[in-house]
Amino acid sequence: MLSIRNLHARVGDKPILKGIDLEVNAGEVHAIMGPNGSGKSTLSSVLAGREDYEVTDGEVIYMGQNLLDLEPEERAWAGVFMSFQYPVEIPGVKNIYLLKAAVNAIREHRGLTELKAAEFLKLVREKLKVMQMDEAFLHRNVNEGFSGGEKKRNEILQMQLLEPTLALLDETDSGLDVDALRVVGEGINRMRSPERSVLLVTHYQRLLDIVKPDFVHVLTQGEIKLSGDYRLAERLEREGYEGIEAA
Amino acid sequence: MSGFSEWLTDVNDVQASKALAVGLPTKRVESWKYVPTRGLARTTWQPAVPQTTRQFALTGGQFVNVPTDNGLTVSENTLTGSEQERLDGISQAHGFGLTQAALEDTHLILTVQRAMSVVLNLSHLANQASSAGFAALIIRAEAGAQLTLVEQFESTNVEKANLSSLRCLMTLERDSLVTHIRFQAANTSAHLFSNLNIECCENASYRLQTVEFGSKLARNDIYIALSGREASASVNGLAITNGSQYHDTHLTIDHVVGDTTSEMTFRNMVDGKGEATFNGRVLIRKDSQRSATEQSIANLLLSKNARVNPKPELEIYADDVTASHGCTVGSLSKTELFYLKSRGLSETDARAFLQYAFAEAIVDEIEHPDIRKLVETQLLGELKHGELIAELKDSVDV
Amino acid sequence: MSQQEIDRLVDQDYKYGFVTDIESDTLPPGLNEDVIREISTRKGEPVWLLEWRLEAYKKWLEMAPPEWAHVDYPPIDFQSISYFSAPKKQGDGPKSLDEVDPALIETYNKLGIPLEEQKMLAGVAVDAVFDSVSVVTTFKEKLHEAGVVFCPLSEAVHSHPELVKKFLGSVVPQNDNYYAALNSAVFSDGSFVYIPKGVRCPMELSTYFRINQQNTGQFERTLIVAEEGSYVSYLEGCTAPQRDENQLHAAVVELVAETDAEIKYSTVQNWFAGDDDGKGGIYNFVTKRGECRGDRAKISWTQLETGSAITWKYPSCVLKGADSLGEFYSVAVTGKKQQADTGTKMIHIGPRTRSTIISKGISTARGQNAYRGLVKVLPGAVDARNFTQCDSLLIGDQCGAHTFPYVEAEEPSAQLEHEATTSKVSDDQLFYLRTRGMSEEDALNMVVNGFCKEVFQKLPMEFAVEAEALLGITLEGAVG
Ligand SMILES: Nc1ncnc2c1ncn2[C@@H]1O[C@H](COP(=O)(O)OP(=O)(O)OP(=O)(O)O)[C@@H](O)[C@H]1O
Ligand SMILES: [Mg+2]
Repeated sequence: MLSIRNLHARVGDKPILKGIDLEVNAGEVHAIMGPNGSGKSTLSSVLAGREDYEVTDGEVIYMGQNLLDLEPEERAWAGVFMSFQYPVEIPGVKNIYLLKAAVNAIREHRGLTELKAAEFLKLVREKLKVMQMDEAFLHRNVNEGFSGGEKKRNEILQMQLLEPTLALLDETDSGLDVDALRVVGEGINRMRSPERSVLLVTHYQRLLDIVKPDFVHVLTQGEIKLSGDYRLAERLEREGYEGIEAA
Repeated sequence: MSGFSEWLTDVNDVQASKALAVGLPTKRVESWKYVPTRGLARTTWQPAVPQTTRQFALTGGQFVNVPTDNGLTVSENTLTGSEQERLDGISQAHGFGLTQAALEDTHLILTVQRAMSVVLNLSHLANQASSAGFAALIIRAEAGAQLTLVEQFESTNVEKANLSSLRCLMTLERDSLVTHIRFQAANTSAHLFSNLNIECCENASYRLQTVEFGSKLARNDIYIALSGREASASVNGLAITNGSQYHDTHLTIDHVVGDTTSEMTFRNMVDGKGEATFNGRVLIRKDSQRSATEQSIANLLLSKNARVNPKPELEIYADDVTASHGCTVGSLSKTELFYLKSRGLSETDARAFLQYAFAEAIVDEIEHPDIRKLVETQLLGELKHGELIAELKDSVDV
Repeated sequence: MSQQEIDRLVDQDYKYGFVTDIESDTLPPGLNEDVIREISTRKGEPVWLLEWRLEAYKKWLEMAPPEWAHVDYPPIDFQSISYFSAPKKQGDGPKSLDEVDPALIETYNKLGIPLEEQKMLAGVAVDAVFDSVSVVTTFKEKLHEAGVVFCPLSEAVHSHPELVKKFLGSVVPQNDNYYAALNSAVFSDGSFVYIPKGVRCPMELSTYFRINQQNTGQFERTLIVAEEGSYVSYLEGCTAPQRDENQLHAAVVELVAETDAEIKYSTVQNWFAGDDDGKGGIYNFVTKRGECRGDRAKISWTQLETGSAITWKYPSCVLKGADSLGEFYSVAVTGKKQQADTGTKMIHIGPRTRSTIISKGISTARGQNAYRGLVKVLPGAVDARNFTQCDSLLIGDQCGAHTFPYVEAEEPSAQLEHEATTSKVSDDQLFYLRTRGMSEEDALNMVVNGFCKEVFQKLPMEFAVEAEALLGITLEGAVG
């Protein structure tokens, strides 16, 4: 589904990704771990098409197309979804406007009919329940004044509605309380299917206990230094990055 | 030579000859620095003829269908000394003030009686080419009175320049409240001049919500004096400037005495070859202790040829005050655009969303549900690609 | 703090207010073409410069004094001012310190500016301008080795005529404004600095200006040129004796920064401010402007303004080169009946030009302090950025603080941000410090210093200390 080959990216003059190679097949969950500043968010941002990052080398093939050629919205239409580490606040735009506009834009590009207001509301309410969110969130401005945990739930709510093929979840577990972590984790699990892949950036074992990854990769200084299965995460939890690197 | 010379020569009184002698203000007059006066000077302005209408309206310099609501007095009597002084103050500011004074023939005086509550809807109508109307409106809100004044500007089917000038004095006596809503969507041949001179006595409160999309040129001079303790003023304004429009608001809030508060929020959104000027000045006089003021000005530039001249001024002569202002100029936030696009919104829709949000912050403050709805609808018509939001509002708003 | 306490503390003498008893060669008051010819002759100037002056004079005659500044003063009688005054001396001006009149050296010692090189602040070269002429420049040798030219402008006219001709008036044209035109016609002396390509000036350069003679105007002109990749830090200090009449100071400063060059220009201005009732004091009407001509050039203005009866001054940056940078850091203190109208202009022309404006105004007694600034972004200044912050502190209820920030934006990708606050010194802060055992005066000093910190940090280290001390004295004078 996704092949990343020799990907290099920089911000301004600063090289951040220095040759990433990663193969993600349909249905797989890959966890990306690594110390602060190692380039995890950069990787997801590059995949989602953020302008600030300049790709200097390498390629990314997603479902047979060159992902890097697409505009951010075209990637969304093609089924790529990124949950932001720092979800953006958009004063003045109601959450529900964004949700409905996004759902219908993506449906249109998948050749589905537009959801009418009533159908849409029914769908949203269902997802809100899953995420244990109050309906009031729909009528507040996008992420404005949301607490850290509420923002993350809102991201997963969006994911549930948009039903992506490739989900890039950047530290969706940070800032969540114990109950919310379970809600978010189960939210992700519900999305798992043989057609859908997930790239999960996290610092903690606890999310991986709920969403069991097929592979774990350690990103250090812009390169994937180590890959393994679920047990690698456990080792990291015990020994830390330094321990692993020393070994 | 000003485009009013012929008219002024016809009027031929002291005021008129003064106005003739001084002429229109040039760019050297600081407060008219950015105003494109060329069009004004080029047209030969004629007195406009009032139109027939059933509404309370200002047309051709005349007020027609003046309402007779319960609680409202329409008086013929003359201005008080201080009202006359305030009006003269406006006249003497520059050559255009003199022209306004010379060419005005109506003074309508409305009094909202003590403790009464009145809603007034005033339409500005203009539909004749090269014609101009000048009028003055004096509003007295007696102690404890409440007034909601809604002004709407229409000028339909006019291809050629038309001009309308209204000088409005308001005196808010003790404990009175005036909510003033202005919605200006006149067509782009209109030249609109509006002077507001507001005086708030003890514990009176003046709240202005103004939204402006229309006209070729609009100039608003607003002066609010907080001259009684506990008086307050709030101004929320939005100007959307496009094509070759010019919008200009000069607003002064004068804390004449202490324990007064004010707030001004103004937003400019400029596209095409539009130019917008906003000059917001807060004056806190000596001994006006414990006054507080907050000013925020945001400017959105949407095109290469758009131009904006914001100027937030603080002039403070008392020490026990809190005063702050913020002013920003920029284009749409890249991060916000990216976020929306990453959710599948097209570039155009994402831009429309953010423009709408920028304007909505002001529109949302309109304290009159029907007008707010009307403004929202027209706002969406005004935005490029506003349809998506319009449809969303219809479908999911409760 | 009560008004009485403030009043009690307001009395503080201007410690630089002495007059030097020295024989001077002073032109009688009045201004006409002959006076300009006389100035030029006395300075032995080349013909082109005389013509340049006369041209400026003609332009000045057609101009009117500016009216829009937030200051108030009676019209100046330009015919009652003398336009040239020089300490009498033998020969062609001092070759070394030994030739300088001992009374002058004494003056500078009193000002705390010892001219003897061995007593100098380490690593600072000084040029001293007394009334209309430069009296001495120190460290010439060492600078010469580095290829740096640092000398009085009147000397540069002879030693580097091609440079002076090329750059004089190229940043501030003769008819830029009323006082700039006057200066161009009658300018007396000032400093000339030239830093060749790639040279980092080995020491701080500094000029001290002093007006001594009665009824004399001072019209110095400073020109600093930093060639590609060079760096210089320059500081000016100003004082004047205490006199009952107002004296006029109308200087022009021009800075040119080529590609990758950096000029840091700092001012500690402490002209006589007049007495408590506004009698006397300097009218300080100054035009300062720098041009970032090349890419990545940088000009930074830092100023501490404590003196003058009236200050009217807007050190500006014209940001032409791509990625060039302009900065303005200012502390302006007005006490007594002082009026200050100061700020900056940042003109963004090149792409990705950036500017920062930090202005701190402190008003005490009956002082009026205004920030007036312009941020202008021309079409094509793609991605230009400005951040402006203007904070005002009011101490006492007789003073005023004003903010007039103009913005003219014509480039959609520009991003400008302006913030301003006005408040009095927080009683909570003062109380907190006093509960920790500090005297009221010290507490106030500390709070005000904190308020100014951002700006003082930008001063060259040697002068930051001086600035803090000066602020302390001014506050002692004004409040406590
Ligand atoms: N816009 C930017 N400008 C400058 N540096 C940046 C920018 N974006 C990222 N960086 C730098 O790039 C490096 C990688 O950042 P990135 O956000 O990808 O790290 P991360 O692995 O996600 O870290 P964390 O675990 O803390 O979220 C960091 O050193 C960061 O400071
Ligand atoms: Mg990250």
